[in-house]
Amino acid sequence: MNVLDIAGLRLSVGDVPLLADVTVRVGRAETVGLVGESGSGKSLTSRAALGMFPRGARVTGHVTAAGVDVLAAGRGALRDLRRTRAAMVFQDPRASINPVRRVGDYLTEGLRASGVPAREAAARALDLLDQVGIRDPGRAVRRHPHEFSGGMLQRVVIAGALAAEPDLLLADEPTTALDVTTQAEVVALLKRLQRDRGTGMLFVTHDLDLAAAVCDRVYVMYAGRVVEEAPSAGLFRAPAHPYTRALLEASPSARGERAEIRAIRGRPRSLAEAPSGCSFRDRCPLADDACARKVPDIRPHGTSLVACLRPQEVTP
Amino acid sequence: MTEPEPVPEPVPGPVLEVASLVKRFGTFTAVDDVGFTLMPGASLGIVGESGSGKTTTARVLAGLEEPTSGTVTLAGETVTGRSRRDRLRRARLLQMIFQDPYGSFDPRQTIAESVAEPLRLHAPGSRKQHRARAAELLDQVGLSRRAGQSPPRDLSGGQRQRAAIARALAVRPRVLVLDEAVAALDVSIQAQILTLLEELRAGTGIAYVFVSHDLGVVRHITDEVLVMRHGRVVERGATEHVLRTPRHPYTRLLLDSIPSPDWDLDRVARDRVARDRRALDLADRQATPAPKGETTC
Ligand SMILES: Nc1ncnc2c1ncn2[C@@H]1O[C@H](COP(=O)(O)OP(=O)(O)O)[C@@H](O)[C@H]1O
Ligand SMILES: Nc1ncnc2c1ncn2[C@@H]1O[C@H](COP(=O)(O)OP(=O)(O)O)[C@@H](O)[C@H]1O
Ligand code: SF4
Ligand SMILES: [Mg+2]
Ligand SMILES: [Mg+2]
Repeated sequence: MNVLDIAGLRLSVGDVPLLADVTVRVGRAETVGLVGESGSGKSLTSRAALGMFPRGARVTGHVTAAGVDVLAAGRGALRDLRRTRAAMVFQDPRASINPVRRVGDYLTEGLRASGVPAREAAARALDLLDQVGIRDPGRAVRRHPHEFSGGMLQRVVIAGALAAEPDLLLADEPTTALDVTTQAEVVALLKRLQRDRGTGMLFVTHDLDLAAAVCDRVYVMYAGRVVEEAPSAGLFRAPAHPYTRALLEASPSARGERAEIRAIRGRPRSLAEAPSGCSFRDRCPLADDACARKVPDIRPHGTSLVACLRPQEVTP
Repeated sequence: MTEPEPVPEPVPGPVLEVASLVKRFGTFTAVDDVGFTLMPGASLGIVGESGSGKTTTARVLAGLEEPTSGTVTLAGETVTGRSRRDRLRRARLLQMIFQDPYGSFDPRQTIAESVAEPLRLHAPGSRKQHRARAAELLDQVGLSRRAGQSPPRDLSGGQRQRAAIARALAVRPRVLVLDEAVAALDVSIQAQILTLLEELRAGTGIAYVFVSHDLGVVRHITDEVLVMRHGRVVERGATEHVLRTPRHPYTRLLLDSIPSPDWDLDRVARDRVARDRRALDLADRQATPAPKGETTC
């Protein structure tokens, strides 16, 4: 059973299409990456898992998160899903926490709402802070968010996300605002907690190296569509989509042999701005007339599923 | 074609020398005894985590911040004066690029007008000549005529950074100080800007001080690097050498923290604990600063 099943998701606001045919699955205890440049639709997709859509959005397709049919669910069922079975961690921890309330209250309110007695909730909060590596939890629960650094506060948010022991964790650029050493710690923490509890995680990031390091499987998004899906190892060793390869070639690396970086012409596009046919064709070095005719079907190539007419020219 | 008034050609030697730079805010020391030498056409990286003093160092170089002590020497002349003449002279030799240049463009001017602005201050010639030079600069950084006629809000992040580079180049400076100049850009656009910067350096002999938290980017754009921690330089040397054979535990921690497929998170966590603050601080104090005036970096 998958903890997240998004299939054929289409989303538009007014007559502006934002997502087209997005399919993303996350299994139990699996870490799945959603990578791509800004505007490709990563955040819209991950928020869709919790039924969080832009105002006035028209949505079709299929979304099941932790057993809940999200597009059919009513308000109560969605609230219950978000409170107990699926949790979300965003880039900016300060946006998730009410600045005037104490950290202890932040951690206990969800537990209290789901019926845990006050004393037990308080004890759980201390335990959670300890698990995410916050020293002196007894003092920490009495503090306010501004008394924590960004990295420490992100730990608090993770503690809150894990309080209800969710089946599904959605992490949208959870370490982008952090220094590398702090990022490594926060990721280590997420992975450990996930391993211990068998949580499925959708890990959204623009950082390919991070996705390669953290994820079992990765979806690459471009202009509101998924253009490639593959196990991490395969994706980074043998990309099948020209965009995936171009991203890898454009990324400077601090380790290994020094390789020249190669720029991609043009700029990332949203679905509404993308050309007809293959969305990547105005930037793709392999594009020809056939690429303009229709959106390429997803098909297997190597270890990948890829939406490109000629993946064999990317990696034979 | 108008040229900025020629700056006297200096005796061959460093274009920028920084010695014993200290910057305190109240009792807090943000920059603690930083020194380096930059030759014409060289590229020096300054890396470190947030709060290590990189931006403060850059701002002192650009004259945006007064050093508490220490000297900054540009093309053989110590630049300390705050007079209009001194500031203009410094601006002619050294320009700065920020992470997000949006705020530095006048929203009511077109990009081309903004790029022509420094020419009005620094170069003789008619408006027509300045406009022609601005068009040439926009072309040099790969911006279309249409982008030049747009207000800054209509440009993407990458286009705005190109415009900022064009404007900085207008006075033909000898040094460009870039503070996290590609940090906010998508990787495909970042690669375009890095490529542009490489071409400009090869083509004009301009020198860079490239401040960044990203070791991968620094590896590609610099020859030498300073690693800063708590305001101090803890390691310095040829970039490739430092990245391959880091000697200071802090540099090693930074490198181990970079994600990679064989990333051993448990090891990173252990390393971090093992090399906790005390151990690192001890190493800080023991790291001997390079002798003053040495040109290794
Ligand atoms: N509430 C909204 N209304 C209209 N367009 C939106 C809304 N939210 C996001 N978009 C657009 O949808 C596209 C995808 O956005 P997003 O999912 O946030 O991208 P990513 O997270 O990959 O950077 C972008 O072009 C963005 O401008
Ligand atoms: N104007 C200022 N007043 C007080 N402290 C400052 C000021 N500017 C910077 N600092 C402090 O100096 C230290 C170094 O900051 P900065 O140079 O911005 O570091 P970096 O660019 O490496 O992140 C930080 O602790 C910062 O809070
Ligand atoms: S379908 Fe054509 S344009 Fe699209 S990625 Fe493949 S080769 Fe390039
Ligand atoms: Mg996003
Ligand atoms: Mg800075």
